[in-house]
Amino acid sequence: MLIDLNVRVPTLESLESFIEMGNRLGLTGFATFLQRKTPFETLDSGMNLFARTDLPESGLRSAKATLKETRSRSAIIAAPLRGIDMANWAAEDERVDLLTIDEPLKDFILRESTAKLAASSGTALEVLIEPLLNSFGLARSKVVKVLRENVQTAIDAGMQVILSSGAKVVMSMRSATAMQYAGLLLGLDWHYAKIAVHESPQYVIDRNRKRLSPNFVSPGVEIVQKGELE
Amino acid sequence: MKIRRRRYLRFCLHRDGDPPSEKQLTREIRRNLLSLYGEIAVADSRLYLTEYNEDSGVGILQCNAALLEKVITSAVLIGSIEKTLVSFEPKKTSGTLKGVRS
Repeated sequence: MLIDLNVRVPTLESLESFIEMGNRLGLTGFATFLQRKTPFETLDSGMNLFARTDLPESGLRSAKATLKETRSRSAIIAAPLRGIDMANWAAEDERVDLLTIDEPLKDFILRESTAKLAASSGTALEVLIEPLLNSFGLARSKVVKVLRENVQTAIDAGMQVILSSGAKVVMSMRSATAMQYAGLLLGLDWHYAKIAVHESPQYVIDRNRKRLSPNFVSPGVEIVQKGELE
Repeated sequence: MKIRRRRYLRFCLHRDGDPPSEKQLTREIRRNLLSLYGEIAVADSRLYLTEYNEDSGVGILQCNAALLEKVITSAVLIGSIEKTLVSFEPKKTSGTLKGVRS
């Protein structure tokens, strides 16, 4: 399965065009902010839609409240990599799936300690390709600098990196191969870039599908058969 | 004389608007290559479009084998050509035209 974990479909009306483009690019699913009936949904066209929630940047308290409220309704929970308190809390909390580097990029610094916390709790660093498409020359060199530094910190700490398009318009979506090449620019080698595009997003989705199932109790413990006590 | 190996790439250019011409597409790839990797990369790339169908967006480009990765990365990061939003999709690479077409 090829999954893009961050497609910012602006309206329900435009969803169809994103699905069509996803099919043309060979995607099997993508995560979107649009409210859906269930966290995991398979459409008639075969495309999978995953409900995604991004925690607010406004403060730790509101982020915690939003997490509590939305975890059971979201296939993906992402927190912005902004501010030490927010980043460290999100990196440590196993309910948060991704630490996202979003625009504007200048405040995004992944600390080594944060990356180590994230690596131990299974939180991945999500890098968006869209800022690279919308800038050029010196402005793009600044974007590349921030992304490359953060990616290197994550890799050194053993934190998984995930590449997403972050597409706000249909034409910002990219095929898996295209994303892999963009990963090379960010300092990933070809093999790691393939994992960041093909395997890691699938792993996060599978993990959360299991966690949100009614039989899940805690990591490593699930109900396999129900019986009656004698 | 040193023999430089060539490499071919089959691609599809998805677009939202008027189709970019062959010249516009080549210019934009070179412009991105120059911006990301510099003048030496553009000079050594020997980048040409071998085939390109404006309507379908399907085409084949050839370049210096040593710079293939950089050429594709530059093409992938093109967001728009003139005022047309585009998405460059690399399909297949090969050392021969016959191979890239199959």
